[in-house]
Amino acid sequence: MLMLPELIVIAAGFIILLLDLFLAEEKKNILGTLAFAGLLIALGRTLFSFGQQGELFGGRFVVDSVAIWFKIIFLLAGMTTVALSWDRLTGKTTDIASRMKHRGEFYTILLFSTAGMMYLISSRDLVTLYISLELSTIPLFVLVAWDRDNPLCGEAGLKYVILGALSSAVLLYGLGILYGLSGSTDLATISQKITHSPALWLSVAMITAGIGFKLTLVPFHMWAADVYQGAPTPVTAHLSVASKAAGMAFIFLLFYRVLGGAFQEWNILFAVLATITMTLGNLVAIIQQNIKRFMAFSAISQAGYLIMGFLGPFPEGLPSMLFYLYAYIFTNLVVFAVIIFYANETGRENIDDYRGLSRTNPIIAGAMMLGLFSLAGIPPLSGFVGKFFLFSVASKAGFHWLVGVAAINSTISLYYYLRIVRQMYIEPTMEDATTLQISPMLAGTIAITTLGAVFFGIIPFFYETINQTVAASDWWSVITATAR
Amino acid sequence: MDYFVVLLLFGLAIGLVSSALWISFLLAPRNPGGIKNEPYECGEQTIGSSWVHFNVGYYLFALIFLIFDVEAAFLFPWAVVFREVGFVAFIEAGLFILVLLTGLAYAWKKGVLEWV
Repeated sequence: MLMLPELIVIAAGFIILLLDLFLAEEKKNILGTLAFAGLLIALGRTLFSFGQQGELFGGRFVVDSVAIWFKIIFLLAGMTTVALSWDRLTGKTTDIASRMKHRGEFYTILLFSTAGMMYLISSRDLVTLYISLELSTIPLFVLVAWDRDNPLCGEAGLKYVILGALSSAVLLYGLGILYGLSGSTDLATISQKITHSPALWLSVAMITAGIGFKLTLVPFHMWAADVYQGAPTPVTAHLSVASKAAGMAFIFLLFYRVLGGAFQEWNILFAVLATITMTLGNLVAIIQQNIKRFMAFSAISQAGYLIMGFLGPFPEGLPSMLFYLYAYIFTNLVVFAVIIFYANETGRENIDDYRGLSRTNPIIAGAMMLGLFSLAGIPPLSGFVGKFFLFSVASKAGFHWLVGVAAINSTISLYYYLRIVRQMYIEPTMEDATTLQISPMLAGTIAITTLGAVFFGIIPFFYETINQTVAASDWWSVITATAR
Repeated sequence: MDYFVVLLLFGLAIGLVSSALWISFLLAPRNPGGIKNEPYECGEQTIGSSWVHFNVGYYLFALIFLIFDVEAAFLFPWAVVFREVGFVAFIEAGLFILVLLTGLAYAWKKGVLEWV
């Protein structure tokens, strides 16, 4: 029963694929409902299994509280993507160019990708780890190139698939070296047998490069701006949230859990990566004109903050990282929901196009402002609280300079996030602007994600719950066993 | 020192390839011209455009074939030890075939099996 959430998601994917073949076009709205329901049931089952621990297939598939927290992220991201793509797939958008076709396949592929991510965090074996990473990535290649008649979209898909294949090959080499060093694909065995050697450094460097692609760490971020801009916006939202969370899950499993003891001595690598990632992301975001490219660089800088949680294996690191991941997905999805709403109604995607939104649609502009402020880290929103915990992890690991750099970067990011707020609140209204009608689906998504972004930071219950459940899990004992 | 050999091989590999490229860069005569840009410089004159479109049906057929090829590769070992592995493996193989059959049904319904 431990694998039930994954099986529900996969079964829903297959049912949708088969139903899509035999349903008449006007009845296909049920497919979206099915996809949402499948993810919701899986989410309910995952929440219900809190506190349970166990393993299947001789320890190859393990469920613990960390895995459950990650699975909730993946399922929430999947559900939000279904909601965000609803209007585009059902053809209800005012802007005809942003409509998307083939909804049965869209939901199926999205569900398969989600299932891959869920398997990823439960894997305890190099082979299953790699296979589930591929199961989560390959569907994303297809989703990015969804609008195949649009050249920009095709270009994005091609860039993503070529660089993705390259990074996947590098990652596989790294995993191969890890196997060669330990003689086992089992993560627990590897963590016991691994010793310091130049080959381990090489392996870690390759794995970092391979997974840095998914996490958009600088210098492996080159694809992000083009792919985020070219992909259909709901897919961009999914990429910036779920794909990044999957990368974090992978890094967590390998570096934090397996190599935790060995890792402590060269976490300077991650400190440097975090520094250049957040700095470059922030500086390049300043000059962006297209809001999706802008969000790509914003996501790059957020990845820089996120990996600060890995600077030292001690009890605060993982909960801080998880908490920030939650804060990040809620806030990022608020912003993307507003971007999708605006593009659906007007087809506009430039930052300048947002001028006067506060006067035509004050509530939506307010939600967007809250989301941007939370991304910038303004108290009391969840982004601030998340950053606070991450920075404290970095200073606890002895990287006080990194905390300084990160604080400066937060200030820089406030500048460019405020650029959009200025367009919405201060600049004169667009000439042809009228109050835009928002569909119930998008309105609900914006409402829920905004509430999440606000209350996740204010109510200490969430961080405490994450902290307690994660501490009760077995991960700390694994690391201390390795350190000894 | 264990890794010195690896470093040596690394350096040797890079050196060999780059020196080969560099020498050919030095020695090769360069006479650019229209004929050089022909698809087959030293062969037949091409007639018409060389950008021939292949029927996309070939690729689809190759993909469908691949499904059954892999299926057979998995099912042979199962069939050999069928008596020993018992009923659970039968169910598992059934699920495996079911997944592949879904793919076939999808392709069939989408008209991939029709040659156009």
